Amino acid sequence: MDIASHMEKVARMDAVHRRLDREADFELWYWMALDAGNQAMNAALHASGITAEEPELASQVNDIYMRQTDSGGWERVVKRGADIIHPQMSEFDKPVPAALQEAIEALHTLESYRDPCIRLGKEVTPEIIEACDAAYEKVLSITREAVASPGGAS
Amino acid sequence: MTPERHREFAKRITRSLEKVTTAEYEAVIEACMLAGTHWFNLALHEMEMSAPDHDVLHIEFMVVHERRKAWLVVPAMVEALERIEDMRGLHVRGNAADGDKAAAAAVLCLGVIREAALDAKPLGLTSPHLGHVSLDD
Repeated sequence: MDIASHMEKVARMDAVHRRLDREADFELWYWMALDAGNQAMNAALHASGITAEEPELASQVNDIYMRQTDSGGWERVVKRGADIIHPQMSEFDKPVPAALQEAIEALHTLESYRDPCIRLGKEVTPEIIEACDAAYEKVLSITREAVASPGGAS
Repeated sequence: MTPERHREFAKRITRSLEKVTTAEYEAVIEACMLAGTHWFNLALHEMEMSAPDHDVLHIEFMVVHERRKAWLVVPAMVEALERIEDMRGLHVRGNAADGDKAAAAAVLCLGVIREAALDAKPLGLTSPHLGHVSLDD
């Protein structure tokens, strides 16, 4: 997907994230940060030339993408090097700049709370909420800078 | 996770879902996926088709024979959750057209899954521990 579409999604997801109550709505508050962080990461990876802006849309499975057919339907195709699903499930064919690596690690930190807190019932403490918030803001800050800079992250 | 905890999570997420609109279709579809998966797991536990310590994270990651058995018992529930999951690539990760319409459909699918979960009863089938196969085995 192209950078502009990724950032349009970041804006919409981030608006929902900021409107929700971080305690009462923790699950969706958290999930919107995760989704927005991943969209912003894809935009920054494209801007830095590490992955490509391709028309195919990422699926749930690495290397399987959705491609629109001439008749307007969708078909699954296998390819590599376009949008990623999760950074920790991805391999990059080009070196990742240090700043972007820092954002990837922050996204890993955010993701580390996903299964324990959303799917396994771990108690969500104020400290966990703060840690998620800090990681998310770091991802957004670095990736937005990469998208705004000519040539992406350095 | 126990059925009761799945129910609590599904209800919490559904309350959050009520705070977003179909114009924010990514949030609607994701909330339906999260709540729907909790209802889905609750149903499988109640029907004694899965043990409380064995939850489905995403329906498309289910082992094939377990997905087949679930579909034979409650096809509408399985297909509804698969439909929500299929929306994620197109409308949450991707920018396919008509995200708002997909979001409205996701809410209907969530209702199908919830109803199936609320109707779920023990089926008297073979213990899930005996039939469970893990890719790590």
